[in-house]
Amino acid sequence: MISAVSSGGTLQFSERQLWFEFHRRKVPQVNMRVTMFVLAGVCVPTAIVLAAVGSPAFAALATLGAIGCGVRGALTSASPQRLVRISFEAFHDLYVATWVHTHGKIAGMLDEPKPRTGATSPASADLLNYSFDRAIVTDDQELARVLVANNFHFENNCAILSYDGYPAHNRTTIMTMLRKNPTLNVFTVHAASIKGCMLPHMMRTSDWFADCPDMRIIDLGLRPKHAIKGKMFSSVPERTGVPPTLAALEPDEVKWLETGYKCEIFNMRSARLLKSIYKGMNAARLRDSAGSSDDGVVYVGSNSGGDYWGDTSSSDLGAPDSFG
Amino acid sequence: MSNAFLGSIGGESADSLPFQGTGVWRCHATAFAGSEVATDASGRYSIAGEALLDNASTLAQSLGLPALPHLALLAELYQRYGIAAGRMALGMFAVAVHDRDHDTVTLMRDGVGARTMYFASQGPSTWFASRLRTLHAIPNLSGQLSLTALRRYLTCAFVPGSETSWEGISELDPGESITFPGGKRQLFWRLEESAWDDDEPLEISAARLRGTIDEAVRDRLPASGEPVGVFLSGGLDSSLVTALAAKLHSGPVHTFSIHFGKQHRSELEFSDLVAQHCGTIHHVLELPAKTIMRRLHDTHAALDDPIGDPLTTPNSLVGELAAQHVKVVLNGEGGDPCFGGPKNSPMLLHRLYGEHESFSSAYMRSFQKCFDDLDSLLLPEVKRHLLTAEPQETLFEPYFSGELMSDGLNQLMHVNTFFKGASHILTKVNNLTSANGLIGRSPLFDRRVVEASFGIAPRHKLAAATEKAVLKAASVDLLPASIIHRPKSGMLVPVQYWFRNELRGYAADMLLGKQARTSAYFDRRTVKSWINYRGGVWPRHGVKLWLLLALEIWLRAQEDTR
Repeated sequence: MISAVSSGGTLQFSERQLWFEFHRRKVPQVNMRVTMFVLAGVCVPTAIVLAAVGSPAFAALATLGAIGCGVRGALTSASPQRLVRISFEAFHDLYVATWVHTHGKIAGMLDEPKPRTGATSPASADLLNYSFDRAIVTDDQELARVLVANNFHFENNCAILSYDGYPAHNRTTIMTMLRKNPTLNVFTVHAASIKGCMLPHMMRTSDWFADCPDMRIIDLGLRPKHAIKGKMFSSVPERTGVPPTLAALEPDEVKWLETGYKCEIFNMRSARLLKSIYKGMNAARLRDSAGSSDDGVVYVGSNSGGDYWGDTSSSDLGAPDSFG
Repeated sequence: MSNAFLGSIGGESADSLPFQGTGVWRCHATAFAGSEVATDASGRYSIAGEALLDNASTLAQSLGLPALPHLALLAELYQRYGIAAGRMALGMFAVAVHDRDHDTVTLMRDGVGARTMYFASQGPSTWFASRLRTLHAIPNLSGQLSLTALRRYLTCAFVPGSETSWEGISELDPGESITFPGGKRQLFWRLEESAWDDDEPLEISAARLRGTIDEAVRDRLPASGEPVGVFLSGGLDSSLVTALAAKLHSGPVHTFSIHFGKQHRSELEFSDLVAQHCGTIHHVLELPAKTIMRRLHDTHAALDDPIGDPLTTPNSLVGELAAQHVKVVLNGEGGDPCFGGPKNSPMLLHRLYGEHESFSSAYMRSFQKCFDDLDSLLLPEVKRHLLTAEPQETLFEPYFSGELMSDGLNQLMHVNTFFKGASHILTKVNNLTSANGLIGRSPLFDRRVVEASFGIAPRHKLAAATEKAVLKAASVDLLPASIIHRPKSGMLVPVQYWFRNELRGYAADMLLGKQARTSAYFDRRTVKSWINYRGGVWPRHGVKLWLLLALEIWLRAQEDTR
C-alpha cells in the first residue's frame, strides 16, 4: 500500500492519501442498490417457505422485508457515490499510529507541519526584485505541501501557496514577488467541494492580486464530474447549500454538491496528482483569456481540455522536448 | 586551427611515436607538434597552440610592435608580463609556452574557455593537447572511462570542470595556467562582480552594454567584403547577433535555421521574420529524425567529451551547410547564461521552498537530466565505486558560498557561465565548427560582454519575470518588437516524439543490444523501462534516452579514434 501510494518509494505523500489508498484496497465496498435487491430476493423465497410451513406471521414479516428492500433498492441511485467508511481519525488511531509505534516512521509520508516563525531572512531580500510566470494556489495546506515535497514548484517553475496560509515562512516575500508580474497566471487546484469550487472566484474577488488586473486565473481544480467519473471516495454527505456564484458547473455537478458530497484531491496518489496538474497546466497554455467565463476565470476543465484528471498514462501530451 | 596541437615535456615523450616525422618543434625535453611555433624577440619563449585574438592590433600598438601573427604577439606579451598576458589577450586561445631558460612549459586557456587544453602525466612525462581525443589516442596514457565523470555527464549532460571522461586526463579551467614540471596552477583571470548602480535606469545600462556587444560582434567579423554566417534560431540572442552582423558588416550575411519537419513545432516564423528584417541570405535546413540518426556517429566522434544535448547533431549538420557559404559563422550562445536566462527561476524558487536540500544539490537537479535516476540507472558495482568518490556537490559549492559573488542571481549566472559555458556550449561550438572547417564565434560570450553583464544591476537582467531584460532593451532599435517580446520558448528538438516513433527501435538496439558499451554501467531494466516510456512522473523519457544514446555512440566513436 505504501509502495503504491509513493510510486515505489519515489514520491512523497500525505496521510490522507494513505487513508484513501486504504479504502481502495482494504475496505469492502457495498453497493446499496444491489444489496437491497439481493435482500429482497432472499426475503421472497423465505416468505414462501414460511407460509408453506405454517408460520403466516413470519411469512408476512419476510414479505414486508422483501417489499421494503425492493423499494429501497429502486429508490437508491443507479450510480451511488462511493463513501469513506472509516473516518480519517479512526484510520490514524487504529492503523497509522499502531504502525508507527511498531515499525517507526512511514517512509515518504509527510510529517505534521512544524510551526515556523519569522519573515523573510536578510539573505532573501534580493528576491523581491524578481517574479515568476505562474503560481498554484490550493484550497488546502496539505495539498500545497505534497506538491512542494515532490518538487512540483522546481520542476514546473511556479510558486505554490495555499489559500489557508502555506507557506507560513516566506509567504510575504512570495506574494510580493508574484505581484510584480502583471501577467501572472494563477492556477487554482482544489477539492470537489463547495468550498473548493469557490476558490477561483475567491481568488478573483480577494485582495491577493487586486493590483494585477491582467492576471489570469485558471481553474484546474477537481470538479464533481471528475470525482464521479474517477469513482472517487466522498465523505458522508452533509448538506451545506450551494452559493450562486459557482460558474461553469453543470447541473448534475450542482446537484451533486447540493447533496453534500465532497471529494478530496487526496483520492489520488501522488504520481497521478502531479501528472494531472502538469497536464492541466499544459492544456491551459493552449487557451487564451478569450476562454474565460463570465467571472473572469478560465475553466480548463469545462470542455475538451478537461480530462486532465482522468487517464494520465499518455505522457506525450504537453511533454517538453529538449531545449537546446 | 582544425589541426590539433600536441606537446610533451619530460622523460622520453619528446622522442616517442607521435613526434616522429616532420613538423615537430623540439627544445630540450619539450616537443610541440600540430601547430605553428612562435618565439619572442629574446628567443627565450616559444609558444604553440591555438590563438585567435580580438584585440591583437590594440595589443601590438601598446607594445610598440607591428602587426604580428597572434601566437607571436602572445609570445611577446608573455615575455613582458608572464601569465598576466592571458588576462590582457581577448579572444580564444589555448597555448603552451616553453621557457628555454628553465625548460618549463606553461599552458594557458582563455578566460571564458572558447578553446580547450588537456593534459596528462605518464611517468616522468607530461602530455598536453588542444583536443582530448588527441591525448586519448596516445597508447597507455589514459585509463578507463571515469565513473565520476560519467555521473556528472548523467547529471548535467556534459562533463563540467577540470575532470574529463578519461581517468588520468585533466582539462585546464578557463582563465587558468599550469606549469610543468611541477604542475603549479594559477588563475590569470577570473570573472568578478563589478560595482553596479542599483538606481541606474535600464535604458542606460542597456546602452552601455550595447556598445560592448557592438564591439564584440565587430571584432569577430571577417574582412570587409567576405561573407559571414549566423546560426539563427529565431530567439532573442541569435536574432540580436544577426541584426548586428547585418548592420556592422560590409559583406553578405548568410543566416542558417533548422526545423525538424512540418509536424513538429518550429521557430521558423521567427527566424524568417528576423532574416527578412535584417535582409540576410537565409537558408533553412530540414532535419528529420532519419537524417539525424544517420549522422549521430560522425557528430559524436567529433566531440572531445560526450555532450547529451540533442542539438549537437543539428548543430553539426547546419554547420556543414554553412561551410558551403562562409568561413566564419557567428552564434547567439551566451545570452542565456550571461543575462539571466531561463535556468534561474527554479533556483530562486528553491531559495523560497527548498529548505530540505542543499543549493548545490538543487542546482544539479535543475539540469533536468538523470540526477534523480542515478540510483536506479547505475549498476551496483558502479554505485559502490562512487560511494568513495568525492560528492558531486563539491564542484559547485564554492560558487554558491558567497565568496566569489555576493548577489544571488550573479552566483547562478557565474556557475552557468563557468561550467555550462566552458565545458558545454563553447566546447561544442569549438569541436563542431572545426570539424566542418569553420571558425565559430560567440560574441555574447566575449569576455568584455561577460564582464559587462556582471557590472549591471541584477534586477535589470531578470526584471520581475522578464528574463534578459537588459539584453532586450539593448535590442530595441535592431529587432521587431514581436521578436523582443515573443513568448519564452527555445529551440525544441522533438526527442520525446522521436523515441516513441522513428528512434525507438534504434535506441533499443543500441542500448540493449549485445554490443551496448553502456551496459557495463547501466541497469538494463531501467533502460528498458525508459524505452517503453515507463517510470517517472515527468515526461522526460526522450531527453533521458537521448543522454544515454549520445554516450553510447560517443563511446563507440572513441574506439575508432584509438
